[in-house]
Amino acid sequence: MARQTGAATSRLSRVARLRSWTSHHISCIKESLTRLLKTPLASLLTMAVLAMALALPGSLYMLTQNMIALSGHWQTDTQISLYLHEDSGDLAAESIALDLRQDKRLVRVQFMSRDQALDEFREMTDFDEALDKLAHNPLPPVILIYPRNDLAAEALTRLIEELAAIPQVELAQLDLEWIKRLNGILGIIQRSLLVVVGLLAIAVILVVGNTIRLEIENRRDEIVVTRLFGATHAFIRRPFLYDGIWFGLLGGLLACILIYTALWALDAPVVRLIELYNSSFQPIYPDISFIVTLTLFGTLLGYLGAWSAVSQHLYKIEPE
Amino acid sequence: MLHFLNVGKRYTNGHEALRNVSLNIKRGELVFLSGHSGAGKSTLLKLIPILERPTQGSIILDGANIVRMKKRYIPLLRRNIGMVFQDHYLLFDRPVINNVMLPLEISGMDHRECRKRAQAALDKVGLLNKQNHDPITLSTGEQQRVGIARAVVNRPPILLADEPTGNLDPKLSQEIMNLLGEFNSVGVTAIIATHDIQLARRMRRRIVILHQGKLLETSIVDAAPGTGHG
Ligand SMILES: Nc1ncnc2c1ncn2[C@@H]1O[C@H](COP(=O)(O)OP(=O)(O)O)[C@@H](O)[C@H]1O
Ligand SMILES: [Mg+2]
Repeated sequence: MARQTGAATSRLSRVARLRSWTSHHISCIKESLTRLLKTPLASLLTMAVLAMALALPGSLYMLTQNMIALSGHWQTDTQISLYLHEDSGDLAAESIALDLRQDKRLVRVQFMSRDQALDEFREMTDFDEALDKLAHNPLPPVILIYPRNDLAAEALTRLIEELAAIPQVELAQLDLEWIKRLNGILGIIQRSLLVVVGLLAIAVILVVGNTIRLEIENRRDEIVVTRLFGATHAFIRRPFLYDGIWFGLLGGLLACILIYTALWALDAPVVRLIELYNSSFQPIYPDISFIVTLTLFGTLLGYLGAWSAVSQHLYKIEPE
Repeated sequence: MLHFLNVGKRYTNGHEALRNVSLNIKRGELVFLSGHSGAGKSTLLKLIPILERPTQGSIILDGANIVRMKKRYIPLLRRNIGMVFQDHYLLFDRPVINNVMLPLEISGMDHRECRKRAQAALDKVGLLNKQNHDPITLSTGEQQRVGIARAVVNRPPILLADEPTGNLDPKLSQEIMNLLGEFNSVGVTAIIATHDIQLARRMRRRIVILHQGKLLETSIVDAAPGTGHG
C-alpha cells in the first residue's frame, strides 16, 4: 500500500516535472526574445555582425551554384569545329556538310568556305597586311557542327571520333577547354568555401560567446540568487542558451535577406551580360531549403557560442 | 535534526574560522548564533546549504551526512533551506512579487500557483499591498521583510538568517525578529546569526555563542512555549 502510494507519487511528480520543465523552456524562449527586443540597437548590431558573417559564405555558395548552372547551360551549346585538310576544296567540304545534315544527332551543320574562314580570321585578328602578302588563302574550309543538347558525354566522344575518321578531316575540335577551366575555378571556389565557412563559423561562435558573456556579467546577481535558492546548472544556463539560439536564428534570417538583396541588385546587370552571349540564363535565387539550412546553421552556431560562454563563465559565479 | 560533530573550517588562506564545533539543533527549535564580528557565525551558517564545506568533522541533516554530498544534489538540498541575508539580495530588475516567486519557479512550480503562494507569503510579512512595487522603492525594513517572504515561500523545514537586522534600527530589528519567531512557532527550525546579543537575549530562546571559531556556551534562556526543545 505504502509502496503503491510511493509509485503513484513518483509517477505524478515525473509528469509534473516534465510539465514544469516544458513550461520553463517556453518561458525562457519568450523572456529571451523579450530581452533581445528590450535593447534593440545592441541586439541588432550583434545580429548584423552574425548576418554578415553568415551571408559571406552563403553568397559564395549561391555564386558557385549560379556558376555551375551557367556552365551547364553553356555546356549544352557545345560546338564542334571540323577543320578539313588544307588541300580540300570548298566543294568537297560542302558535300561532307550535306551528308552530316542527315545525321540525327546533330541540330545544325554550318559550312564555312575558305574565303569566309579568311574573312572571319581577318575580323578577329590584326594580321590584315600579312594576309594580303600571301599568294593564296592558307585556311582550310571549316564545318561547324552543333550536336543535340541531350547527347551524353559518351555519345559525344563517339561522335567526335567518327567525325575525326572522315578522310578529308584534319582535326575535329570540341570547344570544351574553357568549360574545363571554369570547372577548375569552380572547384577552387568550392574548396575555399569550406575554409571560409569554417573561419566564419568560428567568428560567429566568438561573437555570440562574447555577447552572452556580457549578458552573464550583467545578470550576475540573478545567477547568485537563483543558485542560493537551489537552481540547477541546467536551469541557470537555459535562458543564456536561448539567447544564443535567438541570436543565431535571427542572424541567419537576416543573412538570407542580405543575400537575396545582393542577388536582386546584381540580377539586371548579370542578365544583360549573359544576353550578350545569346543565352537565356535565369539566375538562381536562394530557395526555401537554402534559407532553412542557413538559418539552422546560424542557430546551431549561436547555440554553440552561448554554450562556450556558459561553460567558461557561468560556473565561476558562486554565491559567497 | 541538525548535528554538527567536531566541525572545523579552515579557509584556503589558512584562516581557521571554526574549530571543533559540536552542536545539536532539534526540529522546530529557534537558535540564536551570537558572538563578536569575525567569530565564525556566517561560516557556520554557510556550511548548512553547502555554500562552504567544512574541512573537518561531519554535519548530519535529517540523518544524512551532508559533508561529502555530491555537487548535483546541492540544489535539492538548498530548496529545503530558506535563507535570509543581511544584504537581502533582492533583484532590483523585477517587482517584489517576482522576487518572492523565484524559489518556487526554481523548484518548477506552475506559474499561477507560484503567484498565489508568493502573495500568501507577502501577506504574512504584511506587504501584500506592495507586491507590484519595485524593491528599490521600499524601505530597508520592508526589503528585509520581502527577503523573509522569499525565504519562507516554499515552506522550507529550515530557515537560516545571517544578521537579518544588521542594517535596521532597534525597533525594526525587533519587528524582524518577531516575524522570524512567528515562522518558527509554526514549526520551522530556525537559526539566526546576530552579533547583537542583547537583541538575542530579549527573544528568550536558546543562544549559542561563538568566540574566535570556538563554541563558548550554549544556553537556553527561558524558552518560550511551543519551541519544541527537550
Ligand atoms: N572566504 C573567506 N576566506 C578567508 N577567510 C574568511 C572567508 N570568509 C570569512 N573569513 C574569515 O573567517 C572568520 C570568520 O568569518 P565569519 O564567519 O564571516 O564571521 P562572522 O560572521 O561571525 O562575523 C573571519 O576572520 C573572516 O575574516
Ligand atoms: Mg557574518
